[in-house]
Formats: sequence, C-alpha cells, structure tokens
Amino acid sequence: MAPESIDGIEEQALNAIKGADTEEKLQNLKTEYLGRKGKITLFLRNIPSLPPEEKPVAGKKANLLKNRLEKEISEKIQVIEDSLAAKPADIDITLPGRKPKTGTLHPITKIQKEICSIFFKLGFQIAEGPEIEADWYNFEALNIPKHHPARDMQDTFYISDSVVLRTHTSPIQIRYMEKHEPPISIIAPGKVYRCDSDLTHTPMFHQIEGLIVDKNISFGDLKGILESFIHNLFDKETSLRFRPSFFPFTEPSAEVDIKCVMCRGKGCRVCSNTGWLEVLGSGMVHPAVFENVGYDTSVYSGFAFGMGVERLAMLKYGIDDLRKFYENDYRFLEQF
Amino acid sequence: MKISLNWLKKFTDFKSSPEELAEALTMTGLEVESIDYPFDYLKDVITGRIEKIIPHPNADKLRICMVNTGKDENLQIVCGAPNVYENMVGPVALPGTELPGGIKLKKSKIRGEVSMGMLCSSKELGITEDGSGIMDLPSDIIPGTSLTKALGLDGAVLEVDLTPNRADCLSLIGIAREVSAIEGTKIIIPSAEIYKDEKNKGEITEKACVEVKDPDLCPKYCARYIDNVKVLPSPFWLQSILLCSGIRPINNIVDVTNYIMLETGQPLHAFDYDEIKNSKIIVQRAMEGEKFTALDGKERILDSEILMICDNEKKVAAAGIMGGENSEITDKTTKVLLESAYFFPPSIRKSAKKLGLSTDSSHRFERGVDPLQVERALNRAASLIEELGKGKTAQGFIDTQTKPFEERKILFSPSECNMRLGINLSPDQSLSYLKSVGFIIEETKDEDKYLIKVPSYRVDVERPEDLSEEVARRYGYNNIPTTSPKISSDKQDESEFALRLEIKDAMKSLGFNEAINYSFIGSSLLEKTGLTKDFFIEPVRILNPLSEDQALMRTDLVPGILENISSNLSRQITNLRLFETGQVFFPDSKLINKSIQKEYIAAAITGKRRNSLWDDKSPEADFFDMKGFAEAFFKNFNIEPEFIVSEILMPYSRNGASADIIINGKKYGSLFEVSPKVLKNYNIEQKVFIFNCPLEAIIKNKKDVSLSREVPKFPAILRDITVITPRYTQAGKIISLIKNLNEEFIENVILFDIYEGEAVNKNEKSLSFRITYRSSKETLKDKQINKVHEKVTSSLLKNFEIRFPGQD
Repeated sequence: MAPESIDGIEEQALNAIKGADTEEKLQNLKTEYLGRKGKITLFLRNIPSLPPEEKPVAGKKANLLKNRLEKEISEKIQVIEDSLAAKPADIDITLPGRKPKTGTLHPITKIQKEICSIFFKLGFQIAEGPEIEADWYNFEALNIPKHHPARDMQDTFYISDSVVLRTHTSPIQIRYMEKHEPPISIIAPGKVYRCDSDLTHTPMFHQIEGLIVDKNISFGDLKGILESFIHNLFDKETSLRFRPSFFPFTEPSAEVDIKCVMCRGKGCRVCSNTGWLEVLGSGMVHPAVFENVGYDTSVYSGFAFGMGVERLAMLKYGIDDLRKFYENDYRFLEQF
Repeated sequence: MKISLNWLKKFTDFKSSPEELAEALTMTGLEVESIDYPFDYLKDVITGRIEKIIPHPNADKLRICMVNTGKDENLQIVCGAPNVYENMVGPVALPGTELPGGIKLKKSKIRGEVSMGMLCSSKELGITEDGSGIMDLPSDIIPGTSLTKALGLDGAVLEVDLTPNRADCLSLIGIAREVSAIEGTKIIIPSAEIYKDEKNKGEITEKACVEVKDPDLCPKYCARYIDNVKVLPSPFWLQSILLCSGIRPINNIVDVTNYIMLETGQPLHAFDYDEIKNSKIIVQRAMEGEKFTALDGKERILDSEILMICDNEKKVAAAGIMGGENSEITDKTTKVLLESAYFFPPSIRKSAKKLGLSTDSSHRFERGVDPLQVERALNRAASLIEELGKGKTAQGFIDTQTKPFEERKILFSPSECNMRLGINLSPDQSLSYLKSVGFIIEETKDEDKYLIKVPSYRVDVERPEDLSEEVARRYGYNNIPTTSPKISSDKQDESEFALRLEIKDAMKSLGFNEAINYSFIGSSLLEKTGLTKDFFIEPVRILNPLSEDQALMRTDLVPGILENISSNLSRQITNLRLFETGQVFFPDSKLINKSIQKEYIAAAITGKRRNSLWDDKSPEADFFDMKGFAEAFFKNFNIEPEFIVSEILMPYSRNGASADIIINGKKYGSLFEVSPKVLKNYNIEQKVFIFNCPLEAIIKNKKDVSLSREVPKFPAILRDITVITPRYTQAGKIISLIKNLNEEFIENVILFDIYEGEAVNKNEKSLSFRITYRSSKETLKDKQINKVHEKVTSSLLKNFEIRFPGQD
C-alpha cells in the first residue's frame, strides 16, 4: 500500500482532533499519528525510499506536521482537563464525616491536671503517698491523738487498729517532711476514703494537699498563694473569704470560701443562697507537726491547705450530682 | 448547738439582727449553719381566756367555751378536753390556721353548735408530746397575744456548727462571751453564790457519801442532796428554752439539769436518792462482761475501760454519758442526789464509743468541760430547783477533789505573733484582743514577752500559736494583708503524677475514655470474675465497711472495668473503649499491718471496631484491635513488648486468647479476651478484650526518644514469600525468626495475608510475608537480594514445618 500523502494525513488528523472530545480519544489520536507505529512515524520512516528531490520537502513537512499535531493535541487535552477540573464534584457533603474515635480524661483527672499545673507554675513539686496508711501518718503525726474528738471530723475506714484508709491527703505532708529538709513546696493529689455515703458524700473521693515550709512564712503568704490559685482556676473576679476554723494540724486554721462562681455572690441553689462556697481548708502548720518530723519550730514556719477535687470539678464543669463521678456512664465520660 | 437568741439576750445585750450576729459569729470561727424560727408555724395561734363554760346541749363530753381573744366579742368554741375551767388561759387556733399535720381549721358546727376555732393541747400544736388536755398557760397572759410570743417561742434560733476545739462554746455563757467580744457589750453571768455552805461539811455528810476509786478518770465529783422534791412538768418558760435548744422537756428535775448544762456547759445528773443503796456513790471501772441498762432502755455489755457510777450493789450510770434506768427520776421521786463532776475527756470518749452512745453529756465531757465550773453548775441547779419551789437543798456538798487543776500560762511574744500572721499590730492591740476573750495578761521583764493566763474554759489553748489564732480571729482574717512568699524550690519532682498523666493522655489519644471506680470491691464481684479464694491471695479487708459490696480492697482493676461495661451495655451503649489507672492492694505476707499497693492500668474494648457509618459497616473488634492498641500505647514510651501465649491463664481470660506482655524478658500483665463464663456472670453478651498491666512496666522500661536515624536515600525492594504451614504455627514466630536473622539488608517484615480454604489442605494455612530489603549505601541489585532471600527460605524450612505453594 502506497503511503498516504502528508497533506492527506494532515487533513485527516486535524479533523480527527477537532472531533475528539475526550482525553482518551486524543491520547488514541496521539498514538495513531505520533506513536511508534503512527502514521507520521511511518511516513518519516519511509522518507529514505522517496526520490531524492522529494526528500527534503517531505521531511520538513512531516516534521512540521508532527510538531503541530503534538501541540494541538496537548493543547486540546489541557482544555478538556481544565473544563473537567472546573466541573463540580458530585458528592453530598452533608453526609457525616468518618471521625476517628477520640478518648477523654475523667473530669477528676482533668481538674487535677489543671490544678497541679497552676501550682507547678507557682513553683510547687508534686508528691504522692500510699492510700492504705498507718494511723501514725494519718492521725497521730498530724496532732490528732487516738481519743481526741477531732477524729470525729473524719469517719474512718479501719484495716486494723493501727492501719486505716487515709482520710485525707495530709499524711503525704508528714512522709515528705520526714525525707526532705526545708525549703519545701509541694502539692499532693490523691484518693481519700471516708465511711460516709449519701447525696453529698462518696466513700472514696479526691483531695489535693499543699504545703510550704521555709523561714518567715506567714499567714499573709497563705492568703497570697491561695488567692493566686483561685484566680488562676476561676478568674480574678472570684474573691476569697477566710474564716477561723479548726484543724488539729494547723494553727491558726482557716476555712476558705470563694464568691459563688455560679451566681457571682448573688445567692443561688449551688451556694445555698449564701453567695459563698466553701472550697478549701488551710492554716499555718501546727508546731506539734513540725516536732513530729524533727523540724526546728523556732527557725521554720509553714502553711498547709487542702481541697476537695470533686467539689471544684463540679463548680468548674457544672456537674450537679456527685455520684456521677463514679457511675462511669459513658455518656457522662464522653463529655470531658 | 442551738442558740435561742431570746435566751442569749439574757446574758449579753447585743444590738445586731440575727443575720448580722450569725455573720459575725461565722467570721470569728463559730460557723452558723442556719437561722431558724422553729415555732414559726404557730405564728397564727393566739392565746385566749375562757370566760364562761356552758354544757353542750347535745353531747355529754363536750362543752361550749366562751373565749376572750382580746376582741370585743367572745368566741364560742366547742371543746372536749377534760381540763378546761373558767378563767383558764389557753392557745386558740382560729379558722384558717393550719395545724401541724396539715389540718386547716374551718368554722364548723359540732353536734349542732357553732365552733369558731379550737382550743389546743401542746401535742396538737406540735410543741410537746403532752396531749392530755388543753395547754394551761400562765394566767397573766393578755388574751389575744400570739402564743409564741407569750411563751418566748418566737425568737430566732442559731444553729452553730462548732469545731471540736471550742468546747467552751457548748454553752450559752460561752457563746455570750464571744458575742460580748464582738459587740463590745457586757456579759451577765447568773449568780450561784446563794449557798454559803462548805464542802464535805454539814447535813450532806449524813445523807450521802462518794468514793472515787479511779481519781485519774474522775478528778472531781461533787454532789448535793435535795429533798421535799415534787416532780412535775416544768414551767412554760423553762420548757420553751429547752424546746428552742432542741431538747425535749421531761420533768422539772431533769429539765433543770439540762437547762444548767445548756447555760454553763457542765453536764449534770440527777439520781433518785431512794434508789441509791446505802446512800453511797462509788466511781469505778466496770468489770469485764457486766451488763447495764441505760435510760434509753437498752442493755449494754461493759468492759474494764468504762467508768461507771455505782452504789453498793449496782451500776447507776455510765459516768458522763447516761444514767441508768434503775435510778432515774420518776413522778414518785421525792429526794434527789444531784451530780456534777469532771471526767477525764479521753476516757469518756472511749467509753461512749464502746457503748455506741453519744449524748449531750458525753459530747461535752469528751471535749473538756471547764473544771472551775463544776461546783457553780451544781449550785445553780440546786438553787433553780428551790427557786421553782420544788425542793429543799440540804446544807453542804460533797467534793472529792484532792489536787487543784493546773493553771495554764503561756509566754507570748507580740512580735512573733505578728510574724506568724504577717501583720504589724502594736503589743497593746494584740493584748487587748486577748483580753476581750478572757485571757489575763502579766508583764515580764522582757519587753516583748508577756505571760498569758488561759481561762479555765479554754481547754484548747496550749501554745503561743493558739494565742496567735485568738489575735487573728479578733483582728479579722480578712484584714490580714495578702503577701506572696518567695518559693525556693530546689527539689526534684519524685512523683509519678506527670508520667501517669502521659499514660492517660496516651490512652485518650487511642480513643479510650477514662473511668474511675471505687477502690473497694465485694467478694461477690470477685467471685463473678473468677477471682475466688483458691486462686488469689485473700484481699485486704476493711473492718467497718459501708456494705459487704465494699468490704475488700480491690486486687485487680478488671472486675471494675467489666462492671462498667455491663452497666453501659444495659444503657444500650454497645461500642465501648474504657480504661482506668489505679492502685490495687494485697496484704504483705511478711509484715503484719503492711500492705502492698501497686498501680495498674487496665483498658477494655467491646463492640464494633469503629462506629458504623453510612457506607462502612464496621466489623466487631477482636483480639488484634486490643493488641494493636496495646502496641501503640507502649510505642508512646518507646517500648516494644513481646506478646507470648500466656503461661498461666487468669481465671477471667479465655483459653487460647490470652497473651503475656513481655518487656525486656520480664512478664508484665496480660492481654486477653474475657472468658465466656465470666462474661455470662456479668450479663455481657458480646466479646470483651482487655489489656491489664502494672504501671511499673512503663516506669521501668520507658525510653526517651532514641537518636534519630538517617532517612533512607536508596529505594527499597519488596519481596513476598508465601508459605503453607500447619494451622497451629504461630505467625509471630516466623516474623521474629526472619527479623532475628540480623541480615543487614532486611529492613522490615510484615504479614500481609492469611489464607485458609480450598487451595490448601485442611489443618493448613497459607501465610504471606512481605520483606522490605534496603541498603543504606546503594541501590540493591537482584543478585544481592537473592542471596539473603535464599537464607530466609532455608532457615524457614529448617525451623518450621512448612512447604511452599506448588510443593506437596
């Protein structure tokens, strides 16, 4: 079969390109004309057999056509790609996304984390201690003798005569002071246990204890630290009120109220219409406690404070029922 | 402690409103819990005088009373009570008044006669239990006066929540002292100096004698003898005071002892003298196993630590706690032996605990009464009984005290007090605060030192620090300026708090929700979980648990987590990922009274792998999901544990689906499917997978990020290898074998397919591994790889029972 004339190929090819409306068709045309067995390729390959006078013209024409077709095809492909790219995607974007499951921390952990990080920034270290505790650490060393009415302040679970489930995080103070010399500034979070269960008490709950011991620590310093803690945890508008109270291991002792964070002191159900919330117990470390750990009371003074974690979590996260913390209802846990 | 403000006014004349006083008391350390008007519900009840009584025409037992209520016209009231008489003053409830119990009075006709109201008994008004007749009120009451006002039941009552140190405020006089310091008013203490008689002299010596066998537990015992006693109900004023203070009136003698206790803080006890054998009181410890029936009618068993008041043949009272049934004051009593004593506080506390009795009396004694008040209170009570005209006190009183009570003096430095508080008061200011609450000041040679005499009622004040609280209390805590201490922290953080948070965050990032369970557990839950005695060490037991379900300290986190799953499934939440970290407890086998406390983490999954979506029905999660979570969890701490088939199966793990977690050759915890039997005990109808491991696995093995490696420059070449093995062959072992060949070009091995079915024999499976080959120096050539790959195949053939596809 005689090779087609280059002009014939040209006309044929340009028409075909014109008529091609998909990228696939254009790619086929590219193969048909420019491929290894394409018409132009074949034509070029045939040039050596042409009469010598035709060769230059035929070669030139064929090369020109090759370039032109390459350009036309790629340009048209570009046009088609562009128009395809501009075409809207056909999906319903309102369908739900495929979320990876994210976990949560228990609200107690969450608030503990927040509280400890505030104290961490203030320069405190974290200390911990055992939950099953010797009577000595839980009571005696804290100036709570065996037959003292102060023991009634905490309903105690006993393991034996001399072993209890710790009723507060205060024994951590003693353990820490036994091992370290002042200056001390610690914060001690942990589980505590009391033999009491009703709407507002669970037999296990959490406390965070704080202790500073150094030279020349005063009650004013206690007020300063607690104020900056409360301002960090809530906000600067949350004022504090210190009331005389009694803890056997502090003297003077103070109960600390904060202005109700729910009603801003106007009076509401949460603060029993008093405008105040009792959130912390505190005081200057009792000299008997220092004597029990061998600190020189004429050189050192210090203060300690303790708070109920559940209470603060309830205020901070608006939780209305203490028991929710330990029911482990997934729908509750998932909110934090 | 309930404080009737009407009564308090008799001791100090304060001007504040109840609300102001409550606030001021709270801010000085006597927390006022509430301000109540306990008889406010009677505010509509008035008093009326019966001017005339006419028989009821239609009923023998009813009478018609014409009652003057201060209005122009008398009211006609039909009344059935037997005790009405003309000129009697009684309480009148008018139509519209609601009586306790919710009855609303209406004007009515009783047997045809109009009744415009109701004459009431004390019981009908909810005042006392006396329902025998209409309240016979004092005749000087002006008709029409409100009943509560006429009886002094109208005032506010403050409920003060006293801290255990303030024993002195368990009395009206004590509260009055505080109020007088707050208000700057005078305090009036009722006189008890009416008796000029002496102790252990006079008539009393013929009437009674007291022997204290344990003076350590009872350093002072005083008694008086009263005869010609007429036991009757107390006058209304006395009853009212008791009622407002929350104490039930009983009879004039008992009421007087209670009244004086409330006034002075000194508990008293009245015995029926005729019931005291040989008129002799012996104060001694009980004998082991003796029995005693107290006033509450309950019999209790005694022991030798309990101090008893006895006569020659029987016990008549548990000292300082409660009297005995056998010597109580009754209507027939005509002679009274009145006791006022000081008991050693810890002894009373111990006894009260042992007897399971807590009374107003024991409450005061165990906190410490004022030793100098013992005689005064006795005299006050005797004189009040006389004042009421209901008895005659014999001359003289018994007092067993031999040693004087020690006087407490504290050396006080105003400047040290300032330092402790962070204030700058002048010595005069500090001292005046101390004076205002009863402390007596003596100067010393040192300008900055004063000797402070502690009043006998302040049993809580022992040290200079206690005095600093007194100063601070009076100065006002809220006036102390706020300062910031310089915190010099030179200590390392030794706690595991930060690491525990990292652990929790790691679980959170894997999609687990944190649970917190109680550390208690019951034996039934342990049994449900298969943790029966023969399997496990006896857990630590609580002596006084709230319930059997909370009687043991948990030995394992698994039961709690399973319980959480069970309860959430019952709430129709079926896809769960939960974790908990917490202590578990064991008794120490070597040391009595010691326990081992170890922190664990447990995590569980159940239900679908993911929440199913519109185009993606997620499969059920399985063992390998949990395993993957465990691996990813440990990866956070650069730990790559090995999982081997469990050597010992936990009773809650399913046989064949339990792995021990091995880190650096040591076993820590396990990863398992929960056994179907245990699931059934928990009513769980879907598979649950758990990973349970002590925190020390992480603490001991965690590594900080190892040095970063070079990112590969040369391409990897992947070669697949498929082997057919018996079904029991462990794929993990093949992978570790290839990895452990330590061939330098082998970068990684993964299992990418498992096949069981027609193309292999029964009891066989085909495993396909993909090995990544790479060199850090060059692009590998086939020849280099072939050499290693052949080593792989030959060592597989050597170590495992395998064949390659196409071979038989």
